[in-house]
Amino acid sequence: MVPLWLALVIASPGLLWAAAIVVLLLAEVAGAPILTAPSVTLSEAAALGDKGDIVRLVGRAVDPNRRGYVRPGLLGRDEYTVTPLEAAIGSHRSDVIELLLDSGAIMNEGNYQVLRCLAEESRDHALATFLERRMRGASPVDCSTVKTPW
Amino acid sequence: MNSSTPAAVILTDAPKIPAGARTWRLAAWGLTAIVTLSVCYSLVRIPLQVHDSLIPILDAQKHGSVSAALTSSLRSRAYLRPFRMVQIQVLFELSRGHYFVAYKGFHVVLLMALFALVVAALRIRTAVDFLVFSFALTVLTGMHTFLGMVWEAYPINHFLEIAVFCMLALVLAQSGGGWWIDLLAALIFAVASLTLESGLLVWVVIVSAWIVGLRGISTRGVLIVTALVACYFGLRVYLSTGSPDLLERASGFGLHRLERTELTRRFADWPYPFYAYNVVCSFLSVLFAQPREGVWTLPQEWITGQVSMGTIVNITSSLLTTVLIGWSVARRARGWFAWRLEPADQIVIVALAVLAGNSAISYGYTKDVIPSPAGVFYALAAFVAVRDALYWAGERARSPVVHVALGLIMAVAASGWLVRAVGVHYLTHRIGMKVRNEWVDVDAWLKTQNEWPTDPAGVRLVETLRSDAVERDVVNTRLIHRWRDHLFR
Repeated sequence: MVPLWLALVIASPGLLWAAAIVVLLLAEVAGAPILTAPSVTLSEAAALGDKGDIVRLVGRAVDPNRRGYVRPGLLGRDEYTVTPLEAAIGSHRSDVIELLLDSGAIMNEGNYQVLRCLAEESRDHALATFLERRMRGASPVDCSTVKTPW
Repeated sequence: MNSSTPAAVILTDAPKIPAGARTWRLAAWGLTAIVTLSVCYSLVRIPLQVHDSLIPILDAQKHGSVSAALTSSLRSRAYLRPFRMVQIQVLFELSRGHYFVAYKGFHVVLLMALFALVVAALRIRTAVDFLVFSFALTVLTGMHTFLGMVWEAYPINHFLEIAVFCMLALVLAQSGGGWWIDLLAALIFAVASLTLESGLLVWVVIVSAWIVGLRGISTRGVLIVTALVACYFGLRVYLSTGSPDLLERASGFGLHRLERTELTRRFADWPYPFYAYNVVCSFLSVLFAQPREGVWTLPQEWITGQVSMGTIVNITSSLLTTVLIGWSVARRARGWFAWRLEPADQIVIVALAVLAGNSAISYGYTKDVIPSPAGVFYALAAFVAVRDALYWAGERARSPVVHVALGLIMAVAASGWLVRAVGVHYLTHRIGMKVRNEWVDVDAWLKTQNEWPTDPAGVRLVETLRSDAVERDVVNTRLIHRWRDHLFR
């Protein structure tokens, strides 16, 4: 005779797993999902360096120059409302900035200084050089006079 | 005694069907359906891959017909895999532009088949069988070799196909037999071996099953399949297929992953130590979850002071389960020497044969997905071992201390496997996001591979696949708490 409690010890994780799947599926079917995938703003996608989300959101006519919410923990401890380009500095990836620029984001004298100073502040010299190359001919930047979002 | 059963093999566990068998069998099918559904749900959230999938799909478009695909693949150097390309071509033709549906749909069918064959092979009959089966399901899905069968696609997951064929061979061997079973066995061997080299494992299953007295596939069937093995090697010689350059890709070695140049530098003159390392690593990886892809991640993480919870969970659950399997084998071995084999013995011996065969076939390089058939059979062996332990505890071990100790071992092992099984969903979502991001840079990647299509139809196909992938909703796992990356490995 098999000790029932021992059999239940070995079986309960698997059975609980199956029960959890059923509950999750039923909730999904009932239109009240328990687990929901967090959606991202374009600025958040840029901060995370998620190029797939960037392309998808731009394809859905999200303005690549519009400020967007960035939840705490992505660019620092606080939440921010920044442009996708500003957020992209947080990803430390020039290819993400390149993608945003190709997708219609505008870098001009107006926002270049902020972007450049954000790169300097995060000590990302490669990114600062990349921005400088993209904005050849721009005026020199004095970061002590530029206010950055974080 | 059945005339086809050799006198030496005595089936001590005669097929008597206990009361309530139907109920427990149905419960097992229900449980399997739930788990399968959840895994398939995660599977279809992953876009078609760029690496490994796109070029074969572009090739299918170029070939234009199944016969052209077959002819082209027969000219391939180093690999004899004509059915691989034929399957890709057939699905391409059938898809009528719905590539995701065709390839993912086939992947889902294969996964369903794998789960169904596992239930069929284990023959659940009692409440204890059912309870132990719920554990075996977590072992099956939680095994690190299983993940590769879910997320990878070339664009068909051929490793999953081979695992399905191996399980089908076992189920056929367990069946009542007949000429059509022999025919089917020969057919699945032919398809498996001409799809991937790992397909030779089907022969290992068929022969080992026959040796232990599973005669669903008759002696005639085994001889036919063995003749096909000879034909397979003959065909390789006839077509001058040769063998792959075994140092042609990066592979894990020791505490690091070595690039091709480094592997060549170390092993080009005398590659046998590297092959031996790969065989041993594949073998150990299935049993102990270490090393992973040839890399000993535990000491590596130890040295860097960052041992992840996931590594500990994986090793602990595998170690405890392997100890139970080892204990069960030791107990059963006496019967094996006397050639008194129960159905459970037969499953365990076939599983050991698959483990040995699968490890040997992994000599070229190590990757988690290569020993995936062995991973599936490991779950079968785990089922037998845990069931043995429960009966032993009930009938032989009366001491409460032994019961508590066994309970603790089982609780830790089962919880660990649960974490690993749940991790499959998290990891597939993470991979889904990675794959979608890769599609954004597909042009650049194709150009670096010198595979950028030269015709407008090819360019349109890349565009179609890219927009399909990018538009897919994937879970952004970077917004989920980072501890999951440490727990699920």
